[in-house]
Amino acid sequence: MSNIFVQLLLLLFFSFALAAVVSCYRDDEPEAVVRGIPRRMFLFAGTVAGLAVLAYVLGVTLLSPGSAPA
Amino acid sequence: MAALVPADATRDRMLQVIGLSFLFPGLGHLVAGERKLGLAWMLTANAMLLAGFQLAGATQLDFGFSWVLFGALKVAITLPESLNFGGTLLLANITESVEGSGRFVEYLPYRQIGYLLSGVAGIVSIASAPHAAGRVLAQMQPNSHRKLHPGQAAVMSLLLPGWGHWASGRRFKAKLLGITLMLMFILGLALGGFADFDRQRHGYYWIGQMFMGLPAWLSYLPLLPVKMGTVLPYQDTGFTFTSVAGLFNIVVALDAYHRAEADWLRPKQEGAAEQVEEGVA
Repeated sequence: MSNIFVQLLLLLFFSFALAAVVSCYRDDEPEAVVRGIPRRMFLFAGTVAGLAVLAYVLGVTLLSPGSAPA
Repeated sequence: MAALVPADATRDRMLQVIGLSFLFPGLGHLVAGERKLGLAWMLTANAMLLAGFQLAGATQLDFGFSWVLFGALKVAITLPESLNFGGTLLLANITESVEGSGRFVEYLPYRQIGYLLSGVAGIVSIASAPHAAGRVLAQMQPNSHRKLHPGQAAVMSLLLPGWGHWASGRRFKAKLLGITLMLMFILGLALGGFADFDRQRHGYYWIGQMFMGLPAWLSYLPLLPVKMGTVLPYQDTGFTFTSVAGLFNIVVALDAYHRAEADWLRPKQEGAAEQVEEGVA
C-alpha cells in the first residue's frame, strides 16, 4: 500500500529533476540555473498536486456513483 | 546580444547530414567527406543491429508496429532500433520474428543480449547525426581555439549524462545533471525492486531507459535475474523514474550540443583564459 507522504516526496524529487533539466536547458550560468530550479520545481509539483486534489474532489462528488440521479 | 548560430550554408549542410544519418548511420559522415569515420560508424551500428536481430530471432519487431506498403515493402518501426531507419527497414524485409513462425522467444537463450545489442545500436546510430553535424560545422566554420565540436559533446552526453557538459567546461551543470539523472535512474530501479528494467516485461519503458547510456547498458544483463515476485507499492513510479531519466538525457545531450555549438562560434576573447577541453574522435 502506498503512502501519500512518500508519494509527495517522490513528486518533489521528480519535480526537482525536471526543474534542473529545464533550467539547465534555458540558462547557462550556474547562478541563473540555481535561481530557476525552485520556481520551476514548485510550479510543476503544485500543478500536479492541484490536479490530484481536483480529481479527488470530482471523484467523491460529481463522478461518484451515488451522486447520479436515480 | 545576437544568438550565436551557424551561417545559413552551414545549417543547410548540417540539416542534410542529420537527415542522411537518420536514414542510415554513417551516411551523413560519408557525404560530409569523413569516409573513415562514416564507414566505421556504418559498420559498427549495423553489425550490432544484425547481431542483435540474430540473437533475438528478430523478435525486436514484435515490440513495434509494421505496415506493408505496395503489397511488398514492410515498414517496421520499433524503438530504439528504428533510429537506424534504413538498417531496421532492411532487416524487417529479409527476416521474420521467430514468434511469427510459432516459436516461443524463451527458446532463444541469448535473446536479451540481442535486445541489448540492437537497442544500443539504435542509440549509437542516432548519435551519428549530431556528430556528423558537428563535423560539418568544424569543416565549414573552422575554429582554431576550440577542440570539442558540438557533435562530440552530444555523443558524450548520450554515453554518460553530464559528460558532454563536463568536457565543454561546464562543471556545475555536468555535476547537477549527471548526479540528478543517475539518482533518478537508481531510485527508479530501487522502487521497482531492481526488476523494472527488462524489455520482455516492460518493453515501452525500456525505450526510455536505454537512453541513460552506459549506466543502463552495463546494468541491463546483471539485473535480468532479479524478478518482481509481488506487486510493489511504488513500482509504477519506478518505471516512470527510470524511463524519464533516459528521456531527460536526450534533452541534456541537446543542451550539450547547443552550448558547445555556441562556444565554437564565439570569437576568442583577448586576454581570456584558454578553455581546456578534452577532444574525442
